[in-house]
Amino acid sequence: MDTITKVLPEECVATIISLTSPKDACQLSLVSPSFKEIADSDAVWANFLPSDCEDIIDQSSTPTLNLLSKKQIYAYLCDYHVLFDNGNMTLSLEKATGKKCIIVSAKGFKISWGDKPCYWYWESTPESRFSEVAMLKYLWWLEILGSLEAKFLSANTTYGVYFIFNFENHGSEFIYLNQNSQPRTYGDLVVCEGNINGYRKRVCLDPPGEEVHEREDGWMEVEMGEFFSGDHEDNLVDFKLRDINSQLTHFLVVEGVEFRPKNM
Amino acid sequence: MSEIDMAVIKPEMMKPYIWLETSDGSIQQVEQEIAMYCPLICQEIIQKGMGSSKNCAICLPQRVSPATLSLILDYCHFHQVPGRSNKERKSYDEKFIRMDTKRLCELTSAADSLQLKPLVDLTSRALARIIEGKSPEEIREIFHLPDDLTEEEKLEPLKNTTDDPRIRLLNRLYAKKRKELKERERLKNVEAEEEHVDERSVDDLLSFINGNDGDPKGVKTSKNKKKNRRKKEQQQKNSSLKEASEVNKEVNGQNIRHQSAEADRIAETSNSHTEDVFAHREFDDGDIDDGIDPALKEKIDREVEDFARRLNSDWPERMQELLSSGQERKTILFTPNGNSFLRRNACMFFPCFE
Repeated sequence: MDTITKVLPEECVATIISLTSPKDACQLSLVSPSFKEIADSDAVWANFLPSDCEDIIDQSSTPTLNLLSKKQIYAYLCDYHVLFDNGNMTLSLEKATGKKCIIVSAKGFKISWGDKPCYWYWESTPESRFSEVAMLKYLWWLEILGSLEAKFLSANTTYGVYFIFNFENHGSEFIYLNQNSQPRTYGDLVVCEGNINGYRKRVCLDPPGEEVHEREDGWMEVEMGEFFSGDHEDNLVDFKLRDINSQLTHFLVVEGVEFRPKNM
Repeated sequence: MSEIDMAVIKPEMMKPYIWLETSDGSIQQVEQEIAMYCPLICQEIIQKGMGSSKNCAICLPQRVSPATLSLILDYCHFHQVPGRSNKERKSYDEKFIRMDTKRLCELTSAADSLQLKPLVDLTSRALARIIEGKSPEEIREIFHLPDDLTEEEKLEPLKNTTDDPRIRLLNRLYAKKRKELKERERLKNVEAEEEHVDERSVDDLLSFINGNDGDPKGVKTSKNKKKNRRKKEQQQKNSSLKEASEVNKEVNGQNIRHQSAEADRIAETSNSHTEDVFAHREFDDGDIDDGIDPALKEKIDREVEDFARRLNSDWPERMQELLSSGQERKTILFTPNGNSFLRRNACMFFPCFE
């Protein structure tokens, strides 16, 4: 009987499957036992994982993840993450495409007055994926800066940059008789690449404005901007959160900034 | 290659034609320039000095039939001309790969054996485009593959990390079915012909319906079900599939699209009777209550088959729904030593791809 698996050698079938998508590879593993073997093989799934994935896992806090099959690693990274760069960054994958999602922790940021414990303190909380989050006691000058090299991201992808935060005492839970008296915390968010000035937008962080969304992990996020990762690994993207004009900000808890592929 | 080699070989290379022998033994003459586009042929000519005459024709790999060879030579003929633009080449390629899937596979195989990488890439991408986005059944249709995942592979027990009662139920049913399968394998030699496609499952279905219609307590249902399970009959692939899908429907009644009224009723009644029905482990041999109108049987037959087929194609998604609903997000879903389970079921870790 002339079936595809008898006509084509396994490496060819593996190449063909690796040109499809992770979802297709899963569907193909249900076609027949011989297809299943090929569709689940490392040869196929290594193509769906980012090329530096193995290295990142090796240097991460969970290097034993590399002992699993490539397909298992892919599945793991879609739902969970690995902590690397001394616990300052996490990597996970976007399920449909295998593109990298990176979260940079607050520890990697430059926070003005961040080292002054009277204003900012660093604590570990169980809700955070990082060992520490930055907690603001109170400050009139809120300025958080950070940057990321494009080499950590997947090439030629449009990424959305999201600021992940929360407030310790949610002002939104209180009902104010007079709207104007409710204290508001604004932030100016900027994302720019290299020397090009990115666009700036002003959002109300607390009580959460329209642009603020609740995440699955319980934190809040607001999109700071987007950028295209392009081909060059040396591209640097800067992001900034600033609020130096308005009133006192307090009880802000900063988890980090996420870079997530945007589906256009 | 040293210069001396080149000097010796040069006279041969002046000959414009070489001889190739294909898998069926036929030998043909081909322009050397064109044939040299294939690395393997090139190698044979230069390193082994073959192909210069009919007697020392280059034996092409078995995967290259005369038909595919002529296709490959057409390809080489076009591309070995240096003056063509990329646009020209691309448009030629697009027209070139328009052929039926079977020929495309053979072409890929032949190109691979001749190490003609550009053609392998082209055909692989074409095949990848054909496969993309198709369900397993559609893929089986395209490549004329039988549905030969064995019962056992389909009935692998699911890991029940949170002791979900639905998964416990499903695993129990799977264990039962696997046991029956083994018995059936033994009897296969005894039984001669194949009976109706899914008589057993239809029996179960109907006894379930009849039992539940007649007896609110559901005790009679379980007895009927037991009796029917004991019934020794030739079982088709589809019937065990349908059983599994039937149970899947029972445990996942809210989520699954309803195909038929009978299926509806099963879902409703089973949700209230599941523990009862499967609590009894002992089977007793009894008369088979088979007073079913054959016309009704056929109708149900068809509906169940249809339903099971649909369900089977959604199987991985359904199982993932089963696993992920009601479980904490943070539950670790894999264990370091669970190699076989994970290898088989890693696809189930994917929540539904919408």
